[in-house]
Amino acid sequence: MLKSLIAPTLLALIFHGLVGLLLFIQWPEEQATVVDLPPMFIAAQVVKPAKQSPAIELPKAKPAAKPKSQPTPEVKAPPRGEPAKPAEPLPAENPVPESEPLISDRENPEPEAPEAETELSGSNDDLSELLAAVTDEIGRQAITNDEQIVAYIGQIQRDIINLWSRPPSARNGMEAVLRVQLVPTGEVVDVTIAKSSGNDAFDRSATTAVERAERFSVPPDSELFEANFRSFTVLFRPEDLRL
Amino acid sequence: MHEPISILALILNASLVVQIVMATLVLASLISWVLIFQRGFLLSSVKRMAINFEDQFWSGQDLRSIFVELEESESDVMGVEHLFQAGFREFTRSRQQYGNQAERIMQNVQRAMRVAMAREEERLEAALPFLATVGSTSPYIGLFGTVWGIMNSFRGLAMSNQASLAVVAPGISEALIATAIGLFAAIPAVIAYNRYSAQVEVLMNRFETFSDEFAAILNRSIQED
Repeated sequence: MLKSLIAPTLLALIFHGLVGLLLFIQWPEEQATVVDLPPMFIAAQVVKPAKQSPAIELPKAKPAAKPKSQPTPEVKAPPRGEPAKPAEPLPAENPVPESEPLISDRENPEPEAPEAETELSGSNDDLSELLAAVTDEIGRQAITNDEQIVAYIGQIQRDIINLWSRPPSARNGMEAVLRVQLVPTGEVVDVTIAKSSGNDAFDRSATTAVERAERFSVPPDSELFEANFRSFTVLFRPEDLRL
Repeated sequence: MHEPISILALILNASLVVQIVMATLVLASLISWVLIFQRGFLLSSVKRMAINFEDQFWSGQDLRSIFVELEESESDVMGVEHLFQAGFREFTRSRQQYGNQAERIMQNVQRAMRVAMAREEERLEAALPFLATVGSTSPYIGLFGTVWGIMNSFRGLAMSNQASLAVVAPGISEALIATAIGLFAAIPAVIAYNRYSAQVEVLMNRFETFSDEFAAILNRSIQED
């Protein structure tokens, strides 16, 4: 009886060993390629708003941002403050956030093109830290400041997108620009229509979205706040509509 | 954070309960595969022996010489051979005792063959209940491990103030491995169980047919004398 068990035992062991090998050898490689992709997307998305903020508050910046719009679910996973994700203009087929209010700072003090370049590669904290070590002190300061601003802008965009419900009369190509004024605690003190879309309902929906947000998160650093968030404009345009 | 998470690492980092569940399931899978192979060999050899023996039996060879051959052979007597051996042994014994009382002799012979058949059935079906148990319970065991792991990772989520998918994802992934292993153990066991019990049934039918035919032959030989 015992002797008849030896061969089956060996076979079973070999079988399990093979299955185990398959699992442990093949999987990690496959995963590696899959996981590598998302950071690249994040990186690219971070850059867009960064470039926009120094730029004039024009819808122009937007088309450049558009091609980016891969809806990657992973992108949402990184804990917090990954700034740009929601900022990305979403393609027509993306159902979730209908459109993106574009935020641009009115008076951005430092138009640093080279910094934007460096940021391209450094999306998450680790990477940018690495970069910072390479660049000099000043450069580092600029990067972190810039990153912070981008992060806060992203957060504000997200908040507004979440609260914005477009009227049925919204059409592609409509653009409304709102000027929002904040106090240092982040509370909205004033919302005015800087440039009307020509459609009252659309303007109203945009204003309501900002008003409903009531309070945005802003940098605690008062210098940063004064420079970028005291007063800024938000561009609303429904990009994804098929009409 | 973006490092690939290997399955091995997931298993090693799993909580104790989940690890115990996984170990149990791997063990169950191992044992059931040992049994699957062992049963497979046994059943196919019994079937082969039955075919060979029936060929020999119907070849017209003298029954007594076949019996002597079986008695002298070293290897295990299994299946049809066992039936034949038991029946023939009882036949010669009763024949000496009762002479020509056909009914009595046949009763004894048939009883002896029934006993031998029961033994055979027992032997053939020996491990099948274990396979059935593995097949039906290991998904539940795996599910238990998964539920436990997910429970823990959600508890961890509740305690951390940053509710993000990244916090729970590894926990859930590691917990799901338990279910995967459970299914991995269960599926072959169920398949083997079904297949082998069907094979055992076919073999038992064959044995029954053989014992009836054999009894008829013995009966005729008594009447002829």
